[in-house]
Amino acid sequence: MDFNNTAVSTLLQETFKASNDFSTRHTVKEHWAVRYYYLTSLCDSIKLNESIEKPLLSSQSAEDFIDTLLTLGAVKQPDVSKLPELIITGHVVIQLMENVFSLDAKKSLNTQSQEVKIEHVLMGPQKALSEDLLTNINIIRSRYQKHELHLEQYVLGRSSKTETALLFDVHLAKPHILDRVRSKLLSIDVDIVHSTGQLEILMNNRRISLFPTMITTERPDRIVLNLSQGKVVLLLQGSPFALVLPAVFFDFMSAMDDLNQAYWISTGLIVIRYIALAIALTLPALYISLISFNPEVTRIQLTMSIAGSRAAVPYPSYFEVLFMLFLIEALVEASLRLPKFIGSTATTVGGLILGQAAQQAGLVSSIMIIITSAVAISNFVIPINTMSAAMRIVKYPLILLAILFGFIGTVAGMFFLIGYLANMRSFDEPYLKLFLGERRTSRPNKSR
Amino acid sequence: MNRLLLIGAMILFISGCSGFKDIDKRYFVVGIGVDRTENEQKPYRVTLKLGIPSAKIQPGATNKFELVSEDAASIQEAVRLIKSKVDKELDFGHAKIILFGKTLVSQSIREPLDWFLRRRDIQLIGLVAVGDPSAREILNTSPKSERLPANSLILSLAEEGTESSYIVTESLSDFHRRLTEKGKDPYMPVIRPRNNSYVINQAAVLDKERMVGILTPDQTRVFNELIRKHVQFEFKTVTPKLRYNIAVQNYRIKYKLLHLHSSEPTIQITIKIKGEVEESTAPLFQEDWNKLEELSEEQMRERFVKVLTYLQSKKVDPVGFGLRYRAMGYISEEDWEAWQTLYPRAKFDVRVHIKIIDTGVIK
Repeated sequence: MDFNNTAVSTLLQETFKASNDFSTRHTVKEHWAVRYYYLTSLCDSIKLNESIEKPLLSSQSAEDFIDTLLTLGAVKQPDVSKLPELIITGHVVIQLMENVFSLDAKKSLNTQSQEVKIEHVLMGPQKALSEDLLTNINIIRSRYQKHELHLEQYVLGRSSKTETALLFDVHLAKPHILDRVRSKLLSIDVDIVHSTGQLEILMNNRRISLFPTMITTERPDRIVLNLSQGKVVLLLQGSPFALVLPAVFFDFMSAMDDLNQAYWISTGLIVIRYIALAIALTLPALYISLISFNPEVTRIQLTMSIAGSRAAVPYPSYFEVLFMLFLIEALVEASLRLPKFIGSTATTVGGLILGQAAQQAGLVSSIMIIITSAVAISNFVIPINTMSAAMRIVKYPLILLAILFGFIGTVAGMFFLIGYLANMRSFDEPYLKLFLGERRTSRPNKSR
Repeated sequence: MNRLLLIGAMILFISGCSGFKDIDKRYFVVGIGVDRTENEQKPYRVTLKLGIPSAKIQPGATNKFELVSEDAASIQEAVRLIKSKVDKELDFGHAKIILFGKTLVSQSIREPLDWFLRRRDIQLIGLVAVGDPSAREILNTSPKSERLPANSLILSLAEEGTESSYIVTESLSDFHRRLTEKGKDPYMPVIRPRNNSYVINQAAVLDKERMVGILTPDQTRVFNELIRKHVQFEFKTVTPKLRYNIAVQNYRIKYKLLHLHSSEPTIQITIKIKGEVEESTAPLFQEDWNKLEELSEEQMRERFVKVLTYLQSKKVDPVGFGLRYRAMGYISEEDWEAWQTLYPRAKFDVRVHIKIIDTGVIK
């Protein structure tokens, strides 16, 4: 045992003094001894068995064993100070005479791909990504079998050291977008990166943002479709979601079902989706404008019955609208956070209160209840969750403008909204651009 | 933060602002009536029909309304006075029915109409009509089937509900156009009350100033056919042997102004009618259809000539022959004056072509 070896031993024992899952094994064969260190919680015992213990038993000499180790992927580590870091990332540090090797023996958890939870489709793949990066890459590679699919790996986060994979089709992806993504990934300097949503915010370079400029998706088929359209995909270790960029507004309004159905069906569904978007955005504001500024817009028959249903409500229209919208937002938020079993109770109770009692108590008019539910339902029609969340927020500025200026305010608000969206860029692509110049990758082409 | 506070304060105090008024604090005027009073100082009696909204709509029960009248020298003054009589803001945005009393229309329509045209909140799609005997009396009627105040009048006049060939319809904008346009004269339907309901089967014809005559129901029907060009109507043909009624689905009317510079100016009107027999006192299928058509054509011709001559005798031109004349080329002021002497002595040459397509029963 020379000086170097003792140093390794002391250093590691000292570093992991307080960790009970730190384990040291020591084996002595005829002329040589092997000592290896690892964290039991991180390492796979089967891998250890396969790549250290078995070869160890069958090896005749130390040289023989070293050869086996190197074949199995061990790396010689000349720098002792790096060893603690290797151990926390799931490596085994093997000490053999005066040499130190490290070998990756990390146990992978959550390698099973999960059921689709957020982006359901009626007919189409039902499995989402898993929480393991390698499994995810596996899923994508087996669905996109082209050697042009390139993969670059990054490590993000000072403490979390999250492995990140950047995937793209090298022939289709635009180089300037790739350069920007690379430089942004390299410039990220935070302690912990856990989720794709967080990564999106980190890459955004904006302190305050509202509309998503990257798609967060859990569907492998969407990822592969986007790859074939020349987009760039980011995967994170430990996250069952992928980031797809660049993304324009219309990407957020498309569901994977659009590809699975006949032309007129999917076109009809897309039209319905945009109508729902318009309802979710403007209906509360239009209600206020109608009730408080221009009741002559609707037919007299409807106006009279709205006036009748509002007769019991003593507060101005905007109070009624804000009250109901607050309740429905609270209900949505509550049913999201609650455990599954209590969730249905909450919605039932909330629905009953909103549906009947509030109107009978004279707090809101019956028309307002219809509007509230129409807005809530329409909002969920938007396929990508981040966009639907953004639209939930955008209706409030419109309500404010409607309170102050009526119909003119609402129209001006919509104008500003569209102007703002048109001004936005997603990695240099105009946000409201209708076509990204992508090929029709999954529908019959006209020219054929 | 300060800006947010300011906006918050603005919203809190907004209920005092002029534009913002909740729907339940508005009184919807569903009908406006203007009558002529005996009083020379206050010649106009303005009646507003104010709808009282109800939460649940039921026929005959929820057509509650309040009728407020006021006499004044002008319509605007009357409305100002009425405002002090009611507890909510008057909203004219839904004033779709505009009635003028028969006595008022017989004297002058131009002056009272002015207010309706200038007010921005009175919609030009409003429907005008003559109330006989008075506008107030019509507004005060509430038919049993009505679900909302004044709804019956809207349904019958706007052709949303019944479509009768006896009901002529006139919107405020078209009325105003006819009142100012040279060569096309205005008209209005006449509404009379009867047992908690209305009868609308007459039309009043006006010159550029006042009413000059009221057509009988039969004349009104022909008048409607002449000016609207897409009514469904029926007419009967009486022969010594039998009587049969033809229902008309579509017809076309064309007219030409002929021989304008001769001693006998002629207005040639060609009417093409397609219809089927809906009622008959004797079997028709074996008859000679051409003969039946000829008989009907002759009687139809008489109906039209009668109405046209009546309008001619009153020196009014609701069909718009004068407008056609003005459209025929450059018409100077002298030419126009010439037409005005021409029209009263013009001869009507009505040519009717009827085609019976069906006798209604299979042999």
